[in-house]
Amino acid sequence: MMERLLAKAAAKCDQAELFMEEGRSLLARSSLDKIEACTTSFERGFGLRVVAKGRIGYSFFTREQDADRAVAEAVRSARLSHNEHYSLPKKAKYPERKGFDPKVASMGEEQLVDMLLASMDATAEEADPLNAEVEAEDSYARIISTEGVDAEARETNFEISCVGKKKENTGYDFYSSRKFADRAAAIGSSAGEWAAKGVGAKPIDYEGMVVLDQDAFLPFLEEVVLRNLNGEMDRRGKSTWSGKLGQCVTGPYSIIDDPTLDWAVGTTPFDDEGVPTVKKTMIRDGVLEALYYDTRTANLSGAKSNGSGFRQSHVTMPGISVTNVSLVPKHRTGVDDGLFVKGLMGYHNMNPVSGDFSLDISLALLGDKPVRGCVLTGNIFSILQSCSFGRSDVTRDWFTSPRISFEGKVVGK
Amino acid sequence: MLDKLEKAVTAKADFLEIRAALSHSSRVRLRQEDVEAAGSGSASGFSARALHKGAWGFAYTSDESKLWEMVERSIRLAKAASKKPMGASLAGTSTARDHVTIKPKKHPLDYSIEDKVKLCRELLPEPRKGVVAYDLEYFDGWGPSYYVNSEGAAIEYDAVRSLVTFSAFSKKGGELLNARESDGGTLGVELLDGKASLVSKVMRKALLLQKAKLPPKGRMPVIIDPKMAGVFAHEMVGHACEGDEVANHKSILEGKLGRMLGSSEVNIVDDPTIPRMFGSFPYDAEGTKARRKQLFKDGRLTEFLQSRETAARLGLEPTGNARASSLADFPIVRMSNTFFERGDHAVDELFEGVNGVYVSGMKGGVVDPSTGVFQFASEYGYLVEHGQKTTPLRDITLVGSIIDTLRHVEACGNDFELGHPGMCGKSGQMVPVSDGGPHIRIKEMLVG
Repeated sequence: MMERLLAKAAAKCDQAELFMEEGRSLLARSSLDKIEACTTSFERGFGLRVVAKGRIGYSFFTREQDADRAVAEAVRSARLSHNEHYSLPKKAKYPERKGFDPKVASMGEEQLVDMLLASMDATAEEADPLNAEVEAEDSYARIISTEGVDAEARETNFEISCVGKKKENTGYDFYSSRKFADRAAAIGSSAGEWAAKGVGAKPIDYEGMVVLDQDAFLPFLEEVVLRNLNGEMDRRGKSTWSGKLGQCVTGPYSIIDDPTLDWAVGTTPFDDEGVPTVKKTMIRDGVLEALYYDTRTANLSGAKSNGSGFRQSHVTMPGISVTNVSLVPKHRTGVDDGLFVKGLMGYHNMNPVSGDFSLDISLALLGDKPVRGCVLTGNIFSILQSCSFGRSDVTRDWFTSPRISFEGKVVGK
Repeated sequence: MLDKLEKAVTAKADFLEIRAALSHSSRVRLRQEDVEAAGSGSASGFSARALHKGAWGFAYTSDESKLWEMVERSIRLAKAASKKPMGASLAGTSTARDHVTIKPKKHPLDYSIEDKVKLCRELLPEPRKGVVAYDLEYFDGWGPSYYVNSEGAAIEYDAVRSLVTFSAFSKKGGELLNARESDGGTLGVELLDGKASLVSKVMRKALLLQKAKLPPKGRMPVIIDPKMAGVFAHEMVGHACEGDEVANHKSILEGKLGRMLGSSEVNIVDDPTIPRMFGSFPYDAEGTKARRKQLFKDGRLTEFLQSRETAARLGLEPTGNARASSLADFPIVRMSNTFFERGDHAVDELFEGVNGVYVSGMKGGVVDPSTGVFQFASEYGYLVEHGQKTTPLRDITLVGSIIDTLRHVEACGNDFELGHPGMCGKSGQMVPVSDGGPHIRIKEMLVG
């Protein structure tokens, strides 16, 4: 069917590409200390992209009977678009990547329910279980185009998340991987421990060493580092680092994007345009070395796609995104003792240009003393220039980094 | 379609419901004059939800041929979940058999994508010195949706929803300043009629932001505009009134029904029955007829928002607030059109003698319904000195707690504005909502 539809579209334009995604998911979810629901979904959808005289058109559908209409709509859409002198990606070879675990694909509801109960029991040792989820996903994607692209991949995803509550405090932990892991009890236990650790938290005034846990650090990286590495932000003049390729833009650390890692959640042999993915050093020891590009932004910027074009679903056109990101410090001196910040709130208030921030602490520990309801202030650019990096890394979802420590200031309200 | 779905409903579970939809949508995105995207598409889906011995099973498919299989699957999943069931049950509601069609003045089907691009382009502004870029996005979606359940409900609903957003950017130093406005509703292409005023407003705002300064910090009187009043009604109060948050001990308002929590000026409503609004609907995702809810009356907490399930858990009545982002999503308690009701004070009166800040719009925010603590960032505002708006401000952050803030509501204006369409996120689901209110003076808030 895909080939037939592609041929039909190709007859009405210069180039065509058909993206198909098919996904099955199975999930067990709890509410308080009981099981709320087991859910499943099976979804298949198609995204059609065509190019006519350098202009891009797009349509999507789920029912095969709507395919002909989708072709007509995509071709009409191309006629309206701006002439970007665009051309679809060419045929490529794709490496094997470890992203499909048959154990995840074959999980049944009873197994998920048992894992959910194990996580809830573990949370209950220290706190009241509030919510938990265990989910197994099995997805397949195929991209074919008139330019010879024929890429297909089957991937799995396995996730556990737990929330515990003790008095007014909640604790959270999660696990995600392309591979099965018997971590339900460990994640449940961790959620319960964090809920218990925060009981009785109070605001403080503090000046001294601050240690940011990875959960608190990641949003900074997203807002002031990854945002500025996006080729489209650069092209539109929205990146703080526009025109600074080859220049030192931040502290002595590297940012590496690696879609080749075994079983990591962002691992994939090709992006959603059929461009092979590669390991990329975006920042090397503080020097801006590369930007993320999909084919469209690359074409408009006079650059080349580095396999960073991903879709939210078949309904959307590809846009720029990351795979597995690591922050690798040039020097690891270890983090010092001080106020350990587990979570912050209000990152949207951070100024991404100046780097100034003033964020509410949702949970921190000063020794064993829990802290909340006060504000951590500072400038993230200055911090990244002079902070100390921990000796070991933590991987959470798609991001790997050490903890960081710096001299900081906290103001109670 | 309803006949087909009713035939698929079986008596093998304590309760079974099926939802289905066939939707079409189109989207236009202009970057300055250029069409960056103009496309359309369609989608279909079917979902079944079964209740067995107090636990839910839910199955979704985009493939109509798998409908029967999904029904059976939902029952099997409910049985698996009943290993340690939460004891879910459903509060009673009238069994509706209805067909509701809301016809727009200009149906998107009657307009080609070329027509829509042309109408969007006609709204674009003349170049203005200082505005470095602007974008316009238009979306419309339509198509029938269906609901049947094992109690005999059978509902077909057909409406169009549309949304237009215009953004303009100015620069100050190296910083890009963004001004934006949206409008939308249960409307067709007529949404675009007369929207040049919205575009002009955004262009003026983008230029104003260049002159704006950072606000003073500390506790001070705050006057909020109808847009921020809507944010307060929705984000600050509405989420804490959601029955699932209350039943799961995640709302600061749990156990406070009937209590006087705010000043007598506080009157807050959630109403999905207002015609043509972005958050309006006739029946919720459990087939309960939508109705107006008075969440706060003269400062007293009077009602929570409920699904049939949360109503049963809390021993209250369903309010028709179960909504799902898509057919693939499990219905949960959501808001619709949420707003502060108008007061008696002239807007000028609110400013009399005030030294504080005036804030407008919403740039982002977080609220924790369990602790009642919130932090909202405003789009722009003004310093208020001796009752007069003086210096333009930007990056104004308001920090507070729900109950303190409700107590500090001093006066509500006799103006009123409802709209501000947006997509509200909760548990990974996005649903269309709108909000609003009058100008409101708050005695004291922490500004940062």
